[in-house]
Amino acid sequence: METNKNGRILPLFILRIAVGWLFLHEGLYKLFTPGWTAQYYLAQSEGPLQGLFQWMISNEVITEIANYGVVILLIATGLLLMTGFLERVASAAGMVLLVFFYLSYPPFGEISDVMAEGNYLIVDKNMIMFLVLWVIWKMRPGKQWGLDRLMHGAWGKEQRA
Amino acid sequence: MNRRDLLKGLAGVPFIGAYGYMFARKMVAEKTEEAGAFQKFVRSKILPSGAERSAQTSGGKKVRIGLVGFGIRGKQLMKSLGFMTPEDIDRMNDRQRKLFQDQPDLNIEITGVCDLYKPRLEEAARAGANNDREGSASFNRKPVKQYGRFEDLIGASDVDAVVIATSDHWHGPVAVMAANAGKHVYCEKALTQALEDVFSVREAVKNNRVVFQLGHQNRQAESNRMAAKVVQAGLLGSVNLVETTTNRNSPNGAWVYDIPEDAGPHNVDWQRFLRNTNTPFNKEHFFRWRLFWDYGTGLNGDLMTHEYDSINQMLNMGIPEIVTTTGGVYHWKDGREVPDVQQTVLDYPSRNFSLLYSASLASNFYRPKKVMGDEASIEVGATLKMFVDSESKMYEEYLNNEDILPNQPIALTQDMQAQLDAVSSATEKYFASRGLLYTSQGGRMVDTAHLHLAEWLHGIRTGAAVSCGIDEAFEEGITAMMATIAYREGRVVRWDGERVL
Repeated sequence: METNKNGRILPLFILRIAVGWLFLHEGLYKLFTPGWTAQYYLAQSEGPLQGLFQWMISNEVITEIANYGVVILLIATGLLLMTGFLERVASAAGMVLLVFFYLSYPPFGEISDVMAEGNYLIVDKNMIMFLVLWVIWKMRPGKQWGLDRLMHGAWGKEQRA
Repeated sequence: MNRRDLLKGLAGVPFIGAYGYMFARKMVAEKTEEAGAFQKFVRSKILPSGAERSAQTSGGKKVRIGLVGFGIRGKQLMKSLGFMTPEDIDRMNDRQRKLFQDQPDLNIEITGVCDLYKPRLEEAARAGANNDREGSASFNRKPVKQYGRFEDLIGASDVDAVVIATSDHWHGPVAVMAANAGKHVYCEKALTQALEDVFSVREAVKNNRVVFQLGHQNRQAESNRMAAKVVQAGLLGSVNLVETTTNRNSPNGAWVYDIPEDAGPHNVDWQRFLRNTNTPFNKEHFFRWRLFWDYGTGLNGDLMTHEYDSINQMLNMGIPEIVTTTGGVYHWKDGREVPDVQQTVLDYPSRNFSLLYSASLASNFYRPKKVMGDEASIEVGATLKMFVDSESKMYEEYLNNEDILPNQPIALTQDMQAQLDAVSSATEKYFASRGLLYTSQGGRMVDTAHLHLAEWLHGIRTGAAVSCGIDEAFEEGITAMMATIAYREGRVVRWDGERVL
């Protein structure tokens, strides 16, 4: 029974580690790139969030907040996913970030996408990652393999007692 | 909690350890790579000149400016000065408006405008009055003074400096009169449309000691400035050939501008538009003057001058000794006189190098500028790339160490692409392809014409030198006229150091 369960959890566990790795690296890389700012990314956006982004970069304080916010969120989400700690919170946060990324440069087959890396129509890497996080949110591999197991265990025992 | 719980609970932790180790290795590797021997060598040659763009003051009294000519370019210059009509501000999208609103205030006032076409004159007067960059909802200022004669604008006591954006054949007379009246001059390229005007403008500017800037805003672009440093540091060895180009392929790019329907003798001052000719009223001549020799010099004055000046910015080579031009009207058979395909060769035998200018107004295939030396070459576009020659002696050691690869591009200007967000990794090349009108300054996009005007105003306020002053303008003016004469007379044109032969 137990081995069977392990076999089913393993791919989900690896998937969670991989997505966490990606987020953590995106965050740390930005943190260590001197002068990195989301400004250019926001300025060039032509999706439905263009108005919001233009407003954000029109104010230096808000641009700064956006810069730190993105980096902190990426790193935190990455660490939580890798450790399997609060994986539902982490998945949800990651999904929100990905919705923003997706809508900033929506792959709806418009001309400006020609310059983007890769070639996508509707489904792109952001959407796939979003779906991965949805699966993790649903299946909760961290309850078996991850710090959530310890939390859950401690909790469970308390409740039993 | 048992042992199995603990192990499974901490299952993710080793991955973080592995990630951390690899990330650290990567960062260290990138750091060492950055400081490679070749990069160190190049940096030691081009970076010492430190703070080059001195802080420009716009304090003190407002400079009062009169604008002569509010056509396509005049309107753009007004915008670069910080003035647009409320209607044009309404028409911009959010991004354009933000860029315009962020443009620093130059502490100037537009006190007069002059144009020969009434509707444009009125538009210019509204733009000039829009001190607060307002849209039509809140704008209620009185238009600034309108002049039908540039002589009256120059003579006005409330004009300190004049911006000239007329058709080319009036640059000379307006600049000379302004300088003689002690007014500072910003003049659009080409300096003139007639050879004798080149000499008279220089004389007037020098005699009256006014601050003169010619409108080659390429002087402000980051990739050009860096290219100049690279060339002047001798990093290319001896430069023997330069290739510059123009490629456009659209009616607008070929100067087929719109002619307003309502235009006619009642609102165009045709007599004042003509200078030495007696042509009857002709709308096409007035609104598409770039197509005709009486008013402009075609590719020579309009586009070759930009290319020439950006090379002069790097090499300081001055006026060519020998000039030839060939070409013809090969595509736009619309009655124009000036060629649409043209090759001009500027030769400098005593400096051992040639400059080729090659242009087509019927193909927009992209050809960046190439500056070729016996040690290395550079390609100047929106970004600056260097290519080390496989036969190089100067870089032999770096080539042998495989520090660099021969004839492979090495980026020399900071690439904004690197700063784009990686998760979505969108729009990489998008940005790079837009480096023409804007340059990066401290991570911000800035209009180069704005910087060029700001430099001129700084010169007026402090006496500081400008980057495209009367000496550079004289060289540009003579060179463009030599190319025009070579084409029109079908002969080799020479410069003996004082005169065009």
